[in-house]
Amino acid sequence: MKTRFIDFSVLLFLLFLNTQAIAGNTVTLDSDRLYDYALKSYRAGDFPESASAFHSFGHFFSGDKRAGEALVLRGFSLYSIKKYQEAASAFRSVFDSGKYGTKVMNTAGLMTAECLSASGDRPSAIAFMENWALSAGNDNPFLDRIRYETAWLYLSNDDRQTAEKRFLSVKAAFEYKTPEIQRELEKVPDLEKSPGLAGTLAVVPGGGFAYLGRYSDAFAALVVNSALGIAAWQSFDKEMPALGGIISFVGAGFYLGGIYGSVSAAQKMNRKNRAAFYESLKTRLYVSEHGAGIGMSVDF
Amino acid sequence: MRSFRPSDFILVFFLFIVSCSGKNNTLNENSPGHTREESINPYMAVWKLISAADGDRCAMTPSCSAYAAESIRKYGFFEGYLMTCDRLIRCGRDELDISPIIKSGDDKLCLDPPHENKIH
Repeated sequence: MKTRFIDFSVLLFLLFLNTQAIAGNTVTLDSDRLYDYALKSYRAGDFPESASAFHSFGHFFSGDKRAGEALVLRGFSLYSIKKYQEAASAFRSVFDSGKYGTKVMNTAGLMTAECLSASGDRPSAIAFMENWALSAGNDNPFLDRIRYETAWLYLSNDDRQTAEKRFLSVKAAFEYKTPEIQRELEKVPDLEKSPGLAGTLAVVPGGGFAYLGRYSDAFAALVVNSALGIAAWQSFDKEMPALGGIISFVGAGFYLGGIYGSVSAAQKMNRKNRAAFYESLKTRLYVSEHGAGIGMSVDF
Repeated sequence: MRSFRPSDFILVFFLFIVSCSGKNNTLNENSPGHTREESINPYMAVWKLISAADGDRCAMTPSCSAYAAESIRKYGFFEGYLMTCDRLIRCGRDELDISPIIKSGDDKLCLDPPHENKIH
C-alpha cells in the first residue's frame, strides 16, 4: 500500500514537472515586441534576422497598421544581403497588394525595379516601370518620379535614345535637373575597343581576347583550339575520318565561338565603359526624394 | 620517342574545360532553367543525371549547361552553339573580374547571362 502511494506521488510530481516545462516553453507573440526586435536587428545590420522577423510580423499581424512597412523593410533586408530576386518578389507582392497606402506602394514599386535591375534582369525592371507609368494615370503626382527612374534604367541598359525621351517626358524638368542631364549625355565617351578589330584578331585563336586585355581567356582559347586542331589533323592522318569529323565539328565551334566571343566581349567592354560614365553621371546629378539613392532613403 | 595520338589532344582539351570548374552553383528546382518543358528534354535529362553525380560546380550563373540551354533556345542552334563554346573558354577566368558578383542561395557567383554576350 505504501509503495503504491509512493508511486502515485512520483507520478503526480512528474506530471506537474512536465506541465511546468510546457508552460515554461510557451512564447506569446506580441506585435510591438516583434516589430521592435525586427527593427532593432535591421538597424544593427543583422539583415538575415530582420528579414525573418519582418516576415513573421507580416504573417502573424497582417492587420496591423505597420504590416506594409514591415514587408517593405523585409525587402530592404533581403536587398542588403544581395538576395535581389527574393527582395524583388517581396517588394512586388507589397506593390501588387495595393492595400498599404500610397507611400508604401510607391517605395515597393521603385524597389521592385531596383532589385530586378540589380539581379541582372533590367528588361523586366524596365517593363515593370513602363507598365506602372501606363497604369498610374496622367494626373498621378508620382508619375514624374516613375518616368525619371525609368529613364535611368534605360541608361543602365545602354539605351540612351529612349532614356532621353523619358527624361524629356518629365514635366518638372527643373526640379529633376533633366536639362543638365541632357547636356551631360552629349559627352558620352567614344568606343574604346573596336569589336571589328577584336573579331579580326581572333582569326588567330586568342588574339581577340588578348587585344581586350583578357590574357587568361586568350591563353585558354589558344590551347584549346591548338589541341583540337592537331587532334583533328592527326585523326585524319591516321585514317580515322569519323573521329576527325567529330573533333573538327567541336573544334570549329570553339574557333568560331572564339571570334564571336571576341566581338561580343569588345561590345560588352564598351557597354561597361558607358555604364561607368552613366553611373558617375547618376552620382552627380541624380535627384532623389530625400537626397539619397533610389528608394534607399525611405523613412517610415 | 612515340608520336602523339589524337586522344592526347582530346585529353588536353577536356583538362582545360574541366579547369573552369569553380565553386558550388545554386541552380535549384525553382530557378528559371528548370521548367517542366525542359525537364522532359533529353538534353536536360542528361544534364540532371551528370549534375546529380558530379554536383553543380560552375563559378558562374547561369551555369555553363544552363547557359547552353538558354542560348540555344533563345538564339537558335548555330548561334547558341557558338555562344556555348565561347562561354566554356571564358568560364571561371577573366570574366570573374569583369562581370558583377551576385549572391545566389549560399554562393557568390559571377553573373553572366547569355543576353549580355549576344552580338548586337
